[in-house]
Amino acid sequence: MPLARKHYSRSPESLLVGLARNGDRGAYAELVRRRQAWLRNLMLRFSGDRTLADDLAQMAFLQGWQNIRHLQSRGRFGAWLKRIAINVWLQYLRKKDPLRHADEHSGAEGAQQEVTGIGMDLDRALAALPVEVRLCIVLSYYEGMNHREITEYTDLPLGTVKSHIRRGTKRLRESLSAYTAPPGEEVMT
Amino acid sequence: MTTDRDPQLASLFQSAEEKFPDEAFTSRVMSAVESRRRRSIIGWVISGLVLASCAWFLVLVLQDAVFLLTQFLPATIIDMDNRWTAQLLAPVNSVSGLFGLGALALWAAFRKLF
Repeated sequence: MPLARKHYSRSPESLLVGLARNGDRGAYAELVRRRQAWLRNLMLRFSGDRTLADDLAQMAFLQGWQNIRHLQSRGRFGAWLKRIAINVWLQYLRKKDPLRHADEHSGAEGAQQEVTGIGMDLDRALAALPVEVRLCIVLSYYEGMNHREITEYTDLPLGTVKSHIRRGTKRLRESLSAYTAPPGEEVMT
Repeated sequence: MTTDRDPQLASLFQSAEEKFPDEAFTSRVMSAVESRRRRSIIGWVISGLVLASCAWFLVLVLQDAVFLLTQFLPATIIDMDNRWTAQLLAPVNSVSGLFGLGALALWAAFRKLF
């Protein structure tokens, strides 16, 4: 491992953000290394397609690099990157599907067979949800965000977020009943 | 703030989380960063060259305009036979003098009206 890389890998994230803001590409590479698994998983849950998820994650990191100078607080890099990622996903949907508000399964064709087991079933179930419902469900379950945070990130009204999560949860429980059986019954893992 | 999160689904999301190898992806992102940086440098250089060419062209046009003005502005309006009278009235008996007097008259009119 080169000396600089070793140094970066030991540095706290806020320092790396500060360095990256001054144009240090090595520091940004370390930030990418640390955040890539989380961001790729988030994009995978959104899109259900591993290749697409990687492309979208790369786009989010690129936008992050271009705008990191405008990041006000060094300690909020994760939240800031998450906002970029959500915008990248929404932009992708807008470009790809102008009728995104229709109750269609726009991600279904993307749920490729690369991911196995639980991941694949989860992605299939998520792909069957309308895009806004899927977005709210992923932010709630994968990111652990509460309703108000989801509202802030997605600009959806609070009532809509609540109903999307309620509806999405119900549909996911139905599609994934093998994994989410009531207590006492055998649960597939 | 409530979340209405189903604990079983939440744990399912956790178990579905995948391990992604980081090196290839990180180098892919960083080479995209590098190529975008290179593209933007090339863009800046091209814009600079275009601007410089435009500036060069404008300077040439401006130079011609200034040359024409220097020829046109001192031209006398009324030819005078007497050399001394011509010299004395030269500041007002020229195109530039006429412009100057016109500007002064306009300014006075403007002050009087407003």
